[in-house]
Amino acid sequence: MFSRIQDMFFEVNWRSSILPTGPALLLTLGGILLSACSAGTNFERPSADAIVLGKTTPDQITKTMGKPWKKLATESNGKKLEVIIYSYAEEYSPVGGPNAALGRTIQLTFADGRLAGHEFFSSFKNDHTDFDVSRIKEIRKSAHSTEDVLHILGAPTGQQVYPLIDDAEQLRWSYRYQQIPPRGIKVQYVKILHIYFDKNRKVKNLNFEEKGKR
Amino acid sequence: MMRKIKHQSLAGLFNIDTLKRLFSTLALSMCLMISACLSFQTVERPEENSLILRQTTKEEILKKYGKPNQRSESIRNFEPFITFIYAHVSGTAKPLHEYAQPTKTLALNFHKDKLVSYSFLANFANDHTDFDESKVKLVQKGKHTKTDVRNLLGTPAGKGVWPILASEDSLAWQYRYAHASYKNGTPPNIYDKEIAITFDEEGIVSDVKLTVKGKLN
Repeated sequence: MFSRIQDMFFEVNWRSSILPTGPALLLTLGGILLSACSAGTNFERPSADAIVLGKTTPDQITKTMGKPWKKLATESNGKKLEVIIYSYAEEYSPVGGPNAALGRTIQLTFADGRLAGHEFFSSFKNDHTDFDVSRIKEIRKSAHSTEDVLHILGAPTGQQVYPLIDDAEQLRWSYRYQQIPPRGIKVQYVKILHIYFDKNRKVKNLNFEEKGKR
Repeated sequence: MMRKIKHQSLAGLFNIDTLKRLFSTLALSMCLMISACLSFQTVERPEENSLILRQTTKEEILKKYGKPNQRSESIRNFEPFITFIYAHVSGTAKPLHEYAQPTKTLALNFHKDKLVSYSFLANFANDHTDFDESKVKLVQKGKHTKTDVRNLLGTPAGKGVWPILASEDSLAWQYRYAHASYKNGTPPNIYDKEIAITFDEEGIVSDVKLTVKGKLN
């Protein structure tokens, strides 16, 4: 069987360092490799009420979504985390063009048995998570609320709270889009926007990283 | 002379059939995958006093290290910054831990053309950034100075300031070791540990954070 290698980047690896270390580390260390021409089991993005921070349990997820593609144990801020990942890939992406494969992944992270973060990213046409980078500059620190950000960028592709983020009072919204190569030896593309909201749900901070070429 | 870089790009040496054969060797396939975007080169550990935060310029780095393997633009704390990556992935060097892919990487971040953070990571047997994480409990918040931390943990492999850090008055030191190991086929085992130490404006430890992800083998 011809082995196609896809890089699957996950939040657990992306935020693993205090200093941004860029795509080389992600390529060498942050990728989990999924082989085969079509890989993983297809799944549908769960609705917002099926993934509620602080409430949803791992059992509820696996009961409705089935067996995960992968389970990981990790930690953040001294807390043990359970990570459940569903991932599916096919050849070629209508969004990414002929040099990118189709893929969708959701990662759900639990602390103390409750959902502490989720992130979905897809290059399938019907549920792709591509977003408009040019609008990031419209977001204003301290002035804008979650509703303002929703209006500017649309719904986030993920949300995370402590212990996935450092501050127990903050909420993080993530926007993530990535392309995976149809063969394993091409540069891939990933962009991630993180917006942090304070306890009053006003924008506290904003980080954005873009790697590779579309 | 701190270091030198030799470009030895392997791109184009293999046709697709050759690649298929080579893909059966997992460690080598990893090299090839990376070679598509990173040329093979040597990356040596930078001397600490050659990289001065808020002082060393992007042009100085380009002059000294040459063109980076990768360059990207990002935003932290609302501030745009530029990342340079110099990377070396070896198919032949002896790794510190069995089955690990030998890798050396130097990442540098610039804000308004000045260095604001760097991070060196290596897992070669003869040059690595591994450290004794059990010593982290000896570092005391609110008391220890940079000298104390250096005496306990050695020279940091990375440093960073605002806007890489959220606080404009803080300085972070980083100790980090990581590898991807290939023992039982894909997916590889990812091991990644870091001690991040933050100092306040007085140079006193304000935060200590140990993160360990994955298992050694």
